[in-house]
Amino acid sequence: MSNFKRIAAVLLVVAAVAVVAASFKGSDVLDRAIILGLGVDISSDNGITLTAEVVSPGNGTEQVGTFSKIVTVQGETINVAIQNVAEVTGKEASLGQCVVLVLGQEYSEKVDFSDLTEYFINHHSFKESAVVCCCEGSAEDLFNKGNALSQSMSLAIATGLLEQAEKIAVPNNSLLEFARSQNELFCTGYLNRVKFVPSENTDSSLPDKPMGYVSYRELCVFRGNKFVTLLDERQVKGLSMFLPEVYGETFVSFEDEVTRTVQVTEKSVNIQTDKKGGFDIVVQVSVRYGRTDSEEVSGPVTAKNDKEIPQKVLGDVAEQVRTVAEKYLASQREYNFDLLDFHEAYRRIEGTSTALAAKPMSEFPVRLTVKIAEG
Amino acid sequence: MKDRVSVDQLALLYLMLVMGGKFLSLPALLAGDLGHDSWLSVIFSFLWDGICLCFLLWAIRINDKSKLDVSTILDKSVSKPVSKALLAIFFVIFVLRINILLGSCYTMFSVTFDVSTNWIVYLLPVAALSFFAIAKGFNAIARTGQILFGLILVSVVALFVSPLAEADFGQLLPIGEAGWGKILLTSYTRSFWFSDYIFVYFVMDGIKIKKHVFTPMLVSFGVGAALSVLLNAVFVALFGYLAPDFDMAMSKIGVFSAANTTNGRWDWLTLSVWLTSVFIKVAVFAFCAYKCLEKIAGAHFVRFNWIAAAIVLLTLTLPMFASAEQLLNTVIKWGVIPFTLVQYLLPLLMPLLTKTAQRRTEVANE
Repeated sequence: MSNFKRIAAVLLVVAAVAVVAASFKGSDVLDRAIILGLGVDISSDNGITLTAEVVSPGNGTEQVGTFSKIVTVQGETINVAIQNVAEVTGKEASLGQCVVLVLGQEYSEKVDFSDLTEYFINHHSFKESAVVCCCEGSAEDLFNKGNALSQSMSLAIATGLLEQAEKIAVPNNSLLEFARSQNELFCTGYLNRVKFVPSENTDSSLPDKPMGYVSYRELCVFRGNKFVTLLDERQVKGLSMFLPEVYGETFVSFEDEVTRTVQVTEKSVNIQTDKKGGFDIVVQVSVRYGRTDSEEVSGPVTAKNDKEIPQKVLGDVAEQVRTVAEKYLASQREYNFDLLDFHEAYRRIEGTSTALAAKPMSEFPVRLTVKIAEG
Repeated sequence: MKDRVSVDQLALLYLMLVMGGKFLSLPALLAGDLGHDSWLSVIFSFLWDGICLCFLLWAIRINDKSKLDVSTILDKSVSKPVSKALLAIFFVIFVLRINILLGSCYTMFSVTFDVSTNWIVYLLPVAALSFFAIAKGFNAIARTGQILFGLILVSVVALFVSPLAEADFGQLLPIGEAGWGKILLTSYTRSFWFSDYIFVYFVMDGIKIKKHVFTPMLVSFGVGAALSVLLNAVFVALFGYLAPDFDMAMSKIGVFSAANTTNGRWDWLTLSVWLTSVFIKVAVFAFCAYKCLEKIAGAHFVRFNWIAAAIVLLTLTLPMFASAEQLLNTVIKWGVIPFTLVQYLLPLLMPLLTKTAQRRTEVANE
């Protein structure tokens, strides 16, 4: 190959690379409003009030990830509202990093939000593994409490629900799991209910700064994206007894004027269908003495070196486990929802049928056995 | 010889080809057809593939001494007109598969990375890669594949690990709910995505056999098939009723990780590396399409057939005139029947045809 040809070839390659590079539409990170969390409320005209926690690269310092701002917009639909976020921020709204979607109380309890679930589950950038939850009060108020946490509200909720919830006996859900639960077989599922709990300011250097924490010990049950009921802490505790991946429940027993706190360390749950069309459920729980800083502890705390848990205490705890579990099962029957996949268990045997999908929870008799051991 | 390739290189490339195209739109299509039984259809498809591959490898073993190319084998055994007709079917398959792959990748880039561009500009680097494959020969593609193989395999495994742990395989029960007849029929109607071994026909004369032929190829086939079946099972177990709507399986599966939710999008990185295998597959098929035209046209060009190369590169613009869905519902839907000839029937006959061609060549030489 002559020198002339070599130079021509190099120029050709350079030109081709330049054309290719230039033609890809610039989606520069600086032109994007990276959304960390979204809150959805019902607006006065029955549209949507969308609150977005936005990180705008280029607006902060090198620690840009820690600086976010809250933007609130209105829109007839979620699509329009997200476009309005772009208008307000002057940047393209990017949902690829969004970790949490919060539904305000009024919105989640009064609206059939099927279109919202469908929008996000079909959104190509929005992660199916993102956390979806509802909240007490409006989502806008919740997001504006981020200052009291001294961190991003979106990250606080996502971290709490993804990394901590299961360790403190709170079940949690992702967008994918929730969307599937609302459309498959019995169409019931749940979302964690987040609420901001104000606390006393103990920081003397910032006496006016509000302080508080986020609690997520309640669940809202939905059927076909419509609100069914709210499960309180006791019922959530009962539900968690059937979920082996969730642990950390604490139970308190009084014996000889001593308060003993035990904590669930391990759980195995065997849910078997029986011949009567119901279920035999065996919950096997391992417990040990709780930490002194565990919740539900009052009065004198049992010494940690007291390794053997008396049989009387174990029996008492087993009874408590049975009580909360049965309380949960009763609410399942009363409000006709299925978070324990009773319908799914029969689908796996019989296949899908409309008769099965329509079968009410009251037609599944349950025999519950609780076994307890020191673990 | 620029088209010479060792059995080991061939095996690695084959594994990449199996993994390179099955994780795009196919899982969603199968989920739409069969729901949670889609993975069974994949098993059946691979079962036919495995049988045909064994026969093809047997033919390669027979062809080791004579080193006849596919065109000569077909010319000598089934006559020249039939040979040209078969090569024409091959050409159509390769062109369609290239375009479906490119269309899927284009969509994946757009929706996953939010990158939009026009088709021609998107094609420029792909056309350059294809031209490189055609001009430099199969050995160059095999070497490239060999170099990138480790990275691609690691990416696939990285994309799989988290969803694998999350999937509840009990959701695949009851097995065969869609009906075994329907499952078998679907494995046939969706056979267009399978039989990746068809590229082997076009390097039959260049395969260097040292010791084993069957073992490396069947190991690659087994690994590729297992990963593909697993991906389909994980996909339908994770996404349930949503699976038919998620037309980019790998993109969706990569996202599915609770652990990475608050730690950024490392799945974008692994996904990009895995996409390399799709482009290598495109290059291999472009090379094969060129070979088809070259053989159909005969030896009119001594060293390089510019017209054939230009035609192959021009066919890359097909998606500008027909969408992937249109192609699937028309040409590919009805093309399944003639494609069966080269995908499933020809490999079964290949040992016999090779022997016949060898015998006739020897007679002619005498």
